[in-house]
Amino acid sequence: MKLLTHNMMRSHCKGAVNGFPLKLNFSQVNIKEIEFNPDFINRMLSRLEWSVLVDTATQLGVNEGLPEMLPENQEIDDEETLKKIHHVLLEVEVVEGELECPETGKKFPISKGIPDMRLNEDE
Amino acid sequence: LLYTIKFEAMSKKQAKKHLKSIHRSLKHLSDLVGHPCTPTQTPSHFMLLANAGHTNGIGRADVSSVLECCLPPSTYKLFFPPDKHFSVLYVDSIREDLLDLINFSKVRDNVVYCTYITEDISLESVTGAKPPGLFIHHDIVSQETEEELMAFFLEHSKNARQSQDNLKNRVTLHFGYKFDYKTNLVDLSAPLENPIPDCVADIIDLIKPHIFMSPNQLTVNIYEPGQGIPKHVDTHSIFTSEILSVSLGSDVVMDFKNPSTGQVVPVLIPGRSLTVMSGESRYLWHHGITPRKTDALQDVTHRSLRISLTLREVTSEPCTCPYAAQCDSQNYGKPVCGAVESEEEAVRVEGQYVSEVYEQIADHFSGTRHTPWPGVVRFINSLPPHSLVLDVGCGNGKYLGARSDVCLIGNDNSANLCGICRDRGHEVFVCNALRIPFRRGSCDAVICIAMLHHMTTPERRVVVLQNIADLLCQEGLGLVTVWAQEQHIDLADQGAESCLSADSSEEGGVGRRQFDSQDVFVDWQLKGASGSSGVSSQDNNKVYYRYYHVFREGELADLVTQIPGVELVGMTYEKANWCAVFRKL
Repeated sequence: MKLLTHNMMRSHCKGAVNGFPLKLNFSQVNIKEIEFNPDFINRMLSRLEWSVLVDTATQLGVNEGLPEMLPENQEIDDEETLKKIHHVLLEVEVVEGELECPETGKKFPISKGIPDMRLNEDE
Repeated sequence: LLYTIKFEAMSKKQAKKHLKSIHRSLKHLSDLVGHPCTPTQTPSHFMLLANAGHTNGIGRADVSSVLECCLPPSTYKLFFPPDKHFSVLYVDSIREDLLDLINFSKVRDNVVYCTYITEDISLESVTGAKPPGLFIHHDIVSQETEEELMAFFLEHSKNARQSQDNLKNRVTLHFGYKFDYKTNLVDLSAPLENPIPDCVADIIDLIKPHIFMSPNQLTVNIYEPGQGIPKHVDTHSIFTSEILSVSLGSDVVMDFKNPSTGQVVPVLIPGRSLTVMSGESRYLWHHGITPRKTDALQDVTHRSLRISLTLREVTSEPCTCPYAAQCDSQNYGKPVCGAVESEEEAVRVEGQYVSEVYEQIADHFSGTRHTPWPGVVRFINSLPPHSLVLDVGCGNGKYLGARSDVCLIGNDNSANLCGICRDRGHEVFVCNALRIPFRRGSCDAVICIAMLHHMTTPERRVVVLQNIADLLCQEGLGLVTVWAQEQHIDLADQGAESCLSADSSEEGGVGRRQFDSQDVFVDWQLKGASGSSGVSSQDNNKVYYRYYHVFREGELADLVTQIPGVELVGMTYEKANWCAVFRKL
């Protein structure tokens, strides 16, 4: 699971109002090289919950100088910064771990890089 | 409040309205009775009352109030065709003044327009024709016998009720042979633990003149008001050509549905009657009782306790009926598919005939799904670069690598299929389309290819579409494709091309399918099966059945219009699929 995906995900549990962000526990992380595209990163910026990305990257130990906050216009020119964001968003993958709904505590396993977000009828 | 206003002089406008209304109603009446019905000034036994039907909110009592000024109740009969805006009046003796007395009367804010009808009307047609082969014999047992039988089975059921899991369900007892509701089959080898009781054997003797077969299996159902039974057709392979039902206690309306045409016919089953289902009504039409406390057919009736005795003859001869789609003998053990009517059933069918099947067939399925369908690729290519796109029901990830400058993330309900996506380097997660765990407005586009047709009820389809709409950012686009019921619409354009949907062309397309009804099971022959589920077909490959609801023209558009905040921007028919594109406003 990439951190981009994690940033887009929210819990769909019954009774969860926001369900965001999902707490992340991990036991195995992979780094996979992905082609860098500055335009894509810029386009994603406005869609991200920036603080969640920074916190999660820090938690995983892959935060290597991400800006604390995004600029007002949510655009970044500096290529180095964009590359850092690219790395964290797309190249870091949680292979084994688990996601947890922040409101109900329901746990979703991540196995072989795939989060299983299925819920029972009553959940 | 009912009141009557008489118009002395008919204005031109009134005359026009009168004529239009009469002719519209007469057309419907003609369709019902199967012959033209002609309006006439000449007094006759039959009169049409336009704007005095059930859909006008008018009931029997309302019309009776108007008639009581001029007709004693015993001298006339009133008939309300189901779901129509007119009623039909029959008078024992012809009256010259009747038309003027009733014409232009106001009933519950409706102005009633009347005309005599030239022809004699078959009143049974007016109240709704029955499915062919269905016969109802009234007063088959006396009131005394009815009371005795009901007391007998209520006593008998006390033990059964105690061991029931769900007290909301009706109580069912079996005699003669045991009937399994899960498989819809009877175990022919099982010993006769409970032989048919003597009191029922006596009834069978009474019934003999009306039937051809000899019943040897009895199922007793005890219905409290509010209980029913989902629509079904009695299994062809184990019961013979007549299904009998002796109805004790309350009257009830039983709904018959033709799975080929979708036509629904409600039939009143009175207490102390014998219903014989044969021919089409036994082999083709599905029948059921809606779980509710009142019925409304010719009148509103409130249900009370009802006990039905279903008598059938068990056989081991395969069925040779002409209704193959409903026939398990001719479909080699294939389950018969009907429309899904409850949440419980929806969950069960989607579990057993979609989710579990795809888990079992994932590898084989993926092997046959390699060609991205041009229509979908076109859509993906039309998106702005660097879009974020979610593929709901991504299967083996066929589209997840379609374009390198667009970020495609997939989700599927099958963990095995997601595994295959992952092996190919795609980003994917497992979830059910009814609960998609993604933030609202996060996606530039969502594609949902050949997935929505696996949802078993219109409500669940709407939920999926709503979820897709929620995912879209403003101006975001959704693409949804589903199998069409009509398979030939664009064949003229395709020439000799024999592929079906993008799906089936890869199933070694042997040409287009015919879909007899909209709810179907489509088989999948698993090569080299090792799984434990599935039914063996004749050549020892495992066969799996997938549920599909195939869409009529306009049906998908109809669903999209139920989603607030989106606008349908395209609806096309391509290679036996309906394809809708909609934009989030």
